Amino acid sequence: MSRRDLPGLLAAVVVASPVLIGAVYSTLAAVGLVGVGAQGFTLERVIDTLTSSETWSGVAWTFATAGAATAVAVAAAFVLAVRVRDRRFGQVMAMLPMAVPHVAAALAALLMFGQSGLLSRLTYALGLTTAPADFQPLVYDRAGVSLVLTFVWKELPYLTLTAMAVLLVDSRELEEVARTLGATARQTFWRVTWPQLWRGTAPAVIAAFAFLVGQYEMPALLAPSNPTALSILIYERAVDPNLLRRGEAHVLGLLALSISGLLVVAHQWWRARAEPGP
Amino acid sequence: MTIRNGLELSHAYVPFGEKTGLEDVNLQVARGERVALLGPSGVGKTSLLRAIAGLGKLSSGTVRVDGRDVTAAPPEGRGIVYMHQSPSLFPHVSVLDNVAFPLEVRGVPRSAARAAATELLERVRLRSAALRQPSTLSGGQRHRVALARALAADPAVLLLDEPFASLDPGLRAEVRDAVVDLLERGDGPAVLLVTHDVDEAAGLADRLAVLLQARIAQIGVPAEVLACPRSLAVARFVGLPNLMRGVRDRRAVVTCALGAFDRPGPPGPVVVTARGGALRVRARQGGATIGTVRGLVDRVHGTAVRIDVDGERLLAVPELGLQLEVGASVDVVVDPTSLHVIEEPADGD
Repeated sequence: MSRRDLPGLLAAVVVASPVLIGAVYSTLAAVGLVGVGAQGFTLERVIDTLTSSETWSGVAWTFATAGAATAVAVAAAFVLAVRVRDRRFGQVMAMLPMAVPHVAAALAALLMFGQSGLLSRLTYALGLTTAPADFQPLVYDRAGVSLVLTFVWKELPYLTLTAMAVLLVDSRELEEVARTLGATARQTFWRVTWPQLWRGTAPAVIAAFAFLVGQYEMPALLAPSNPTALSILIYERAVDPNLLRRGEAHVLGLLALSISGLLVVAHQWWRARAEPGP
Repeated sequence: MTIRNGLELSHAYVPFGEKTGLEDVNLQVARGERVALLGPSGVGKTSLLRAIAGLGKLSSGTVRVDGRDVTAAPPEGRGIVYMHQSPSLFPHVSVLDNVAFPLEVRGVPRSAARAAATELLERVRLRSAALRQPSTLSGGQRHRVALARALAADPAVLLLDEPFASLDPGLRAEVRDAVVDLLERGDGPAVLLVTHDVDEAAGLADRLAVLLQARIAQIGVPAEVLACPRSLAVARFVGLPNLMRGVRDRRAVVTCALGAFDRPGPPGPVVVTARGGALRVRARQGGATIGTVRGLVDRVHGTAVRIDVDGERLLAVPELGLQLEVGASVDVVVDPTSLHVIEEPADGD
């Protein structure tokens, strides 16, 4: 490492330090050494939290909804990026949801998908349901339909923007080569464009997934109470009137951090295998 | 006339945005033939190649491949492979899968495609790199893989867009040799290559086509284009060093700084050209045109001498062992048959 590398390294440390410091503090708080309700070293909170069915159902539900939303958003973003890459108007339209705050998006989803929302009134007006309350619950439902749709809507511009950047830099020439080598437009999309998009956007996709796992406002407004989304669980534990339970928030936070960290490590490992350096 | 094998471009107009970039381009390249397209930056060489490949538009005109009209066909249905300046290997698959790609998209079973790709890699001496990722190859190796991949498509026409431009001189020679090796076997594709480098084009191509001012200004075998340019613009573009004012009288005698010689044609001002090697200088002996040494130029193939003859600045080759000093008078010897006359007045005439 040379002196010229120092500023970059320092910047990386500054960015990463809150995570590292937070992880150390949370670890100490999880085992009762620091924080509110600390009563000396104990693994009780860790064991209680990790053996709780509420924890694992919340984790599973959170990762399932975030995973489903990310998968749908990625597929939609790739198709959208290919479609609008040469159309400025389309690009602007695709970016618009980015300007809407998450809480506003969640409130809009509530207004749209709630049992007294616009969609239920519309189906009632069209005679598809006998009463607005007969409308299939899409909010607070175990399937998390409205939450997933809102996640998708909010993540779509970010992933589309990333995908378009990949297409602009890497993809056009390769697509042209593929076409003149005999590939049809469809073959070119699946054999060249899609892998290029995936290679280029994988870090952004992981970031989007991690963001959704930790998202609070949208689950707070749209998710069911059972199972409870991970971010809601953490918040509830963090403000629990029983001070002894607050350490569980740190255990849950570390759990979420570990799973996201594992994803990042898995991605780096895959990338290193797929693309060894020169 | 339609050629049965190879590329035929007829009355092609290529747009540049809203305007017409190239006008009435007519070009035929037979199978196994290599034609180099030369021209200054921005003249439309790449646009022409892209239009031929189906990646860009023709305003009008037709593209025929092996006698078949492919003007409206999609890029994959033309039998034309277009190679960019960079090798453009697919980075997400191995070298072997890159070369097998054209076969697999045509429905050749994977094992057969890979076997054929392995043979092609053998031809470019990269069989041992088959399972490597493109990112692990050197620049020259990547170009060789791209060539093998292009040939795997078994194209009727191969378009090479500045194939050596991004390479340093050593790699350039390596890739050029690979191109020659691969394309000189049997009934190869018709090759149309774009380059800025006149020497490279002359060394590689059977014919040169010079694009100037939106049209093909001249097309012919390299010796003809380089020694007998049809216009002053072509002479300047190919870098002829000796362009002299001349005049032809009614008896078809052309007079220029180097003397007078017979050359049939209409009377009037002309430009006389001579390639650098056509003029020799020797120590003063008399019986030849007298020139004054203005300087020496070190070149790859030896030293040349700048001389001033009757107000014309010329480039000549010194006789072996001749000691030259700037300002010295020398004899300038030229074979009149090596002089070429361009039927247009020099600038300012």
